[in-house]
Amino acid sequence: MFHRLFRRPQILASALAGVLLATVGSASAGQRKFAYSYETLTAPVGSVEFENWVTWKHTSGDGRVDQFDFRHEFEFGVTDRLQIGLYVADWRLTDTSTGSRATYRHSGVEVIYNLTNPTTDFIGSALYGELLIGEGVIELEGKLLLQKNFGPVTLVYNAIIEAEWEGKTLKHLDERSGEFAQTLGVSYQVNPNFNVGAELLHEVALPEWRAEGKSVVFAGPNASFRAGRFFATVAGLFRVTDHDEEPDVQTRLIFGVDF
Amino acid sequence: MFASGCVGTVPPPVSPAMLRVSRGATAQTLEAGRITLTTRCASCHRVYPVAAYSPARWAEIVEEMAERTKLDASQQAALLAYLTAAQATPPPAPTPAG
Repeated sequence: MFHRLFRRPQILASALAGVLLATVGSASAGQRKFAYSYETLTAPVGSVEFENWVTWKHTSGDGRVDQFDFRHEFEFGVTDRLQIGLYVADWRLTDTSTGSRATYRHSGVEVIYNLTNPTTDFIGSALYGELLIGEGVIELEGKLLLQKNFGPVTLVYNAIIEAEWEGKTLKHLDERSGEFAQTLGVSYQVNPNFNVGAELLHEVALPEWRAEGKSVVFAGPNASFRAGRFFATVAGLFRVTDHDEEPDVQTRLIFGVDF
Repeated sequence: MFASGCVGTVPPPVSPAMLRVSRGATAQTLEAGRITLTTRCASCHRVYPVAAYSPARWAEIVEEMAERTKLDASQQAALLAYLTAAQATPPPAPTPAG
């Protein structure tokens, strides 16, 4: 498995991360209040943050599946409005009744551009773009991020459209699919180091971009903590729509540190 | 809870009245301080009303937060200048109905 970590996409991502790390200062980035939604303010100029994600999806029943998705990301504040993220490696551990398997999935880049401020403007907004490349897969994702702050309360909404091309190799991407998703989140600041709230995730599969596929909704509580340069955000979502083949529950933990 | 938390939490825009009490800070400096408050500070925690703390307490908070968020000296000075001037500026009188 480990020899796959040294394929071209990872090398490129790591090299870019090294170049950016050598050129930035030491400002601290912000705290994430949500695990499934992005907020609209971008990281301060010169900031560097390292985030680690783990998402656990559990499907119960005869076809029991526990799927763990891992992401390791560097985020850089480039300008007052521009933030770039490098996904060094996304990998998956799948555990079923017949055994376990770990696979490298992809590496990629994310760009967020802030448009308006959630505190001073009518609504905060930002644009998000993401490109993922792996063995036999390319994913392209765009998001519209919206946010409004009301004192200690933060409301966010993300509208997401994703396109995926998949095949045996990058030269033979025979399968196409898409997904529309939206997320909603609310967070209340108990104190400057602790927030609690709730999140909702709605996914609509678009296989072959032809017809509307399954529409699945998850919802549940979240909490975020910050101590010095470290933060952790966790959300547990329960499936509220009737699709037994989909995960019953999913939990995401994001753990980050500012350099 | 929501009402008391929402009132006065949008930092007031830089105004001529604010400039008169700013002790020599320029409009650009005050605006830079307001931007720091609504972006750098707001990215981690809620934006507290300028009237929530005394000028002396704001100075302590800004010094502590500047160290944590690595604000440089000019950013720290601009932020404190804005907070001090905004707090010293009375809010505009409400427009009469009709």
